[in-house]
Amino acid sequence: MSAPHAAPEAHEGAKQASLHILNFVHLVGGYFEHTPFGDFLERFENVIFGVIVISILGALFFFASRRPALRPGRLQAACEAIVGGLDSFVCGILGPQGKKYTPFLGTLFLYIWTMNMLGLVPLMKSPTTNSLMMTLGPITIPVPTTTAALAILVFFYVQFIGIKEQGIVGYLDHMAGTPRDIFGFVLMPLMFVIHVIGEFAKPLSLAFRLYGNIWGEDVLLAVFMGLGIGMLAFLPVPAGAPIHFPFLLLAMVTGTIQAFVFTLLSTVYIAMMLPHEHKEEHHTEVAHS
Amino acid sequence: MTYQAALAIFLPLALGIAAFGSALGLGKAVGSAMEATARQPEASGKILVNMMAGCALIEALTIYVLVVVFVLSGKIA
Repeated sequence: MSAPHAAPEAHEGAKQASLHILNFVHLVGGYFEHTPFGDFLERFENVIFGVIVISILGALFFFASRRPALRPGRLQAACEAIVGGLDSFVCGILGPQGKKYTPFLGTLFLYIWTMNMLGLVPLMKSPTTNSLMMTLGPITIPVPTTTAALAILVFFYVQFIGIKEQGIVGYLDHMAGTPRDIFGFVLMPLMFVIHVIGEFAKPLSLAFRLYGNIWGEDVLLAVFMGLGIGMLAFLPVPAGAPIHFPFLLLAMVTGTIQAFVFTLLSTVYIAMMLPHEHKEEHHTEVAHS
Repeated sequence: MTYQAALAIFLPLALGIAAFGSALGLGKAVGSAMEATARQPEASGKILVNMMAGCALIEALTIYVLVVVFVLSGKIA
């Protein structure tokens, strides 16, 4: 993979190692190349799209909740359905006490989903496909900065919940595999190492799963856009055959599933960190009813 | 064979092998979920969520290999 700015547009064909679909920040940035403004656009491309997503979501929910009516209008009803659905999803996994985690997890889902869908709008890009070549000691690795930020956020939030809900002793006990008998204490160092490695593997897999799926789908779209343009190259019009269309539908499915999986896994990680008594309670409740 | 050539051959191969294993696992998970849904259609929502969680964990193994491939592919050039 070359540096992200090595390939300004996808329409060059499959020669480039890193294919990009043209977006408007790149267009404007190419116009202002080698000026401070152009450098700013090039550097903050993904942040700009992230801000666009935040603005869309913020405006939508601001206008939906500005004048809450008892008999909701269309917008309010739609947003209430979204929030209610996310709430029931989170509470379905975490039990009734999961309500206080809905704001964080629901925001994660909406933010990631909107970012994924933004990549399918012409002249837009999903910030989730963003990666930066970083040299960490002897290795150079593409770090998916946007998704890594989200995953690190989840990591620290989960640890915070673990310490807050179980106490520092309970948290360490959980990390040591809750040793209760002699075997538990013998295996404690091993369990501790396994748990710590597992905790650090979680954000890694979260970040790379989201990035890998969305980036791969974006490259697929770019390749087929290039092919479609090549198919109509004999015509004197700047157009391409829309052979990438089926993959747009695939991209919609992938984007939704990956946003859902990210949220689901974050919820499961929180559920693992919560004390287990509540879960039993919930189960017996279900059994009685 | 230089180590660059070895990496160029075996990195994609390693990813393919990991994906093969993941595919077997995913096939088993999804197949069982389908069976369970057919047997108990009213529990389909719960089964779907659990299946997705499992699928994500299976996928994670391929993603670890992808990370390794990314790390080592810098050494080819």
